[in-house]
Amino acid sequence: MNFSIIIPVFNAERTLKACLTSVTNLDYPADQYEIICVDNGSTDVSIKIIQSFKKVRLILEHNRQSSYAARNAGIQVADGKLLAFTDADCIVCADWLLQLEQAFEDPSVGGVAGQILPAEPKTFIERYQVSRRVLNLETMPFPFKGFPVTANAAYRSEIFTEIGLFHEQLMSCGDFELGQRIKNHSKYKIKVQLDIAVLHHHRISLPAMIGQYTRYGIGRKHIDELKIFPKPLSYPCRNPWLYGSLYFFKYLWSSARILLSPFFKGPRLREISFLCLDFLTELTMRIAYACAPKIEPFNPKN
Amino acid sequence: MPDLDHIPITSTVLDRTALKGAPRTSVIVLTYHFAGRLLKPMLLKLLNEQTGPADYEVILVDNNETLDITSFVTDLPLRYIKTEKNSGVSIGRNIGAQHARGDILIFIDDDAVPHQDFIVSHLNAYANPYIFGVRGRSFPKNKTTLNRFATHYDLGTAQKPFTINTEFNCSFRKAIFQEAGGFLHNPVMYHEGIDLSCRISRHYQAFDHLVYDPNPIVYHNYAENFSEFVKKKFYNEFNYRFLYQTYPDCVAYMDKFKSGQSPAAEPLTRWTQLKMKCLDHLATGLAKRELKKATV
Repeated sequence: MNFSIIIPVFNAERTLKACLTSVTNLDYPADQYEIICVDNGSTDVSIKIIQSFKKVRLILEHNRQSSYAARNAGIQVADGKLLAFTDADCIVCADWLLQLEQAFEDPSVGGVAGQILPAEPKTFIERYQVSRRVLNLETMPFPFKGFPVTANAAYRSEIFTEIGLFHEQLMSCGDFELGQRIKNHSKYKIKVQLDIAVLHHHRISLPAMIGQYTRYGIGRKHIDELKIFPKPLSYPCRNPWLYGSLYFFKYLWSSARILLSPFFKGPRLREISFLCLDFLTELTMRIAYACAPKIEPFNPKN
Repeated sequence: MPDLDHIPITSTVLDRTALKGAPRTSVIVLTYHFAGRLLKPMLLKLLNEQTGPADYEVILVDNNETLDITSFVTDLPLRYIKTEKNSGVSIGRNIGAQHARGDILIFIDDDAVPHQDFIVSHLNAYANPYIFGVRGRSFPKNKTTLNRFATHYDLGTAQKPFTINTEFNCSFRKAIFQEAGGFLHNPVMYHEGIDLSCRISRHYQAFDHLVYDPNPIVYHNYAENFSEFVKKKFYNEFNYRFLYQTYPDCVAYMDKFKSGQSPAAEPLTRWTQLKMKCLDHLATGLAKRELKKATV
């Protein structure tokens, strides 16, 4: 077995069928890859959808509520030499595994990060996230740039035996934490391949997006507590006052552009509401960072 | 958005077409405030001197003409629609389209003179099912200084994708025209063809459904006299401003055709190419799954 594709599933009936259809029809010898879906306690019809695909192996992980716990459960039963990760809200392209295999021809490569592009937006919130290029590897902010996101990533299976599994207690940024461990504690390196793409359905509603950013904030706090990155993630600079004033000027410039927009082309109302959403997401993340509970200890090597 | 079904003007209809059964084509002539002296020969040209099959009807929409034209119109084999009040060219054409029975609508103005192959060559273009609308070639009736401004009338001898910017010589498939909602009810006239083309190409995500065709020929003066020319230029600018403020994407669409050349298809960006690859894969996978279900 060459590849194991691991997909954690939690209440994803909206996008799961498209995901599994694209994953089961890859241009790759069918006996050379397996698909493992890990159900993380879904309460909707996700399990029925998974069972309707005969090629997909279903595993239940109902004890621990965490996408990284689900992925770890998948890793433990996987037979493949290479482990490819995607999410239930993604659509992969036909030569996904072929391209990943090519990237792994170099023996020093331990992990491959692929590009994540937005699917066609249908709601306002989706359109906002598409305009802000969420999860796009090329426009990722500084500390996360160059690290794989589990929506489109692949690792050698030796890595997990060598430096341990995903950190299960993390709410988000678990992929970043694993990437840092690969970089610092293993002989392998991470390769970024921007032409391996996956389509990702962003969050469709405001509560879902707020929840997402809350998890981002808590995850960053936990990363800081674990001292994984030398600088704190919430203020990745030495002088927080300077950083804050930079933000102030950024918003000032955006609002000035909107107020002046009658003199230029461009829809005005949409820009204003996007700016409000910018404020909201930033605020959510900061509040979540400030109020996050202490992380419980976990040894990823066990 | 204009709506063909809710035109608030009642009108009287007089049907004297000799045709039995549904015609294939409807030619819609709009008239308002034009001397009946030229209207009658123009209608006779449409009715009697056209080559090709005769399965077309002529609809004369009278936008409440001040002169009395009923005397000679009632003798001609056409459908005559008289509106209760004049409410602009767009609504007049939309009323004509509403009463039309053909699958293809050809629009012509009262001051234009059609060539003898006018209707046939419009129809020939629709042999290609990909084509939804045709803009014909036009020539000024005589060589005057004012007619030199009509640079967009004649665009060469080759068919090419173009916006439909001559409403006095254009045609649409009726289904497409009605789906798009007809011409926009402008406060002043001009640009209504461009606005309609913009909506059609935005809906179908391609601008090459609408073409310029050199074969349908019409003789039409840009402006008859100087005052009309000034009025035309003034209305044009006024309407451009109106469009710019209310429909900015229509203006962006119009600017692509400014030089008289049809724009090249924009190359796909790398991200779009990758996206298309994923979506194609998903579509084939879903089709395979459906097939399997059907066979089982």
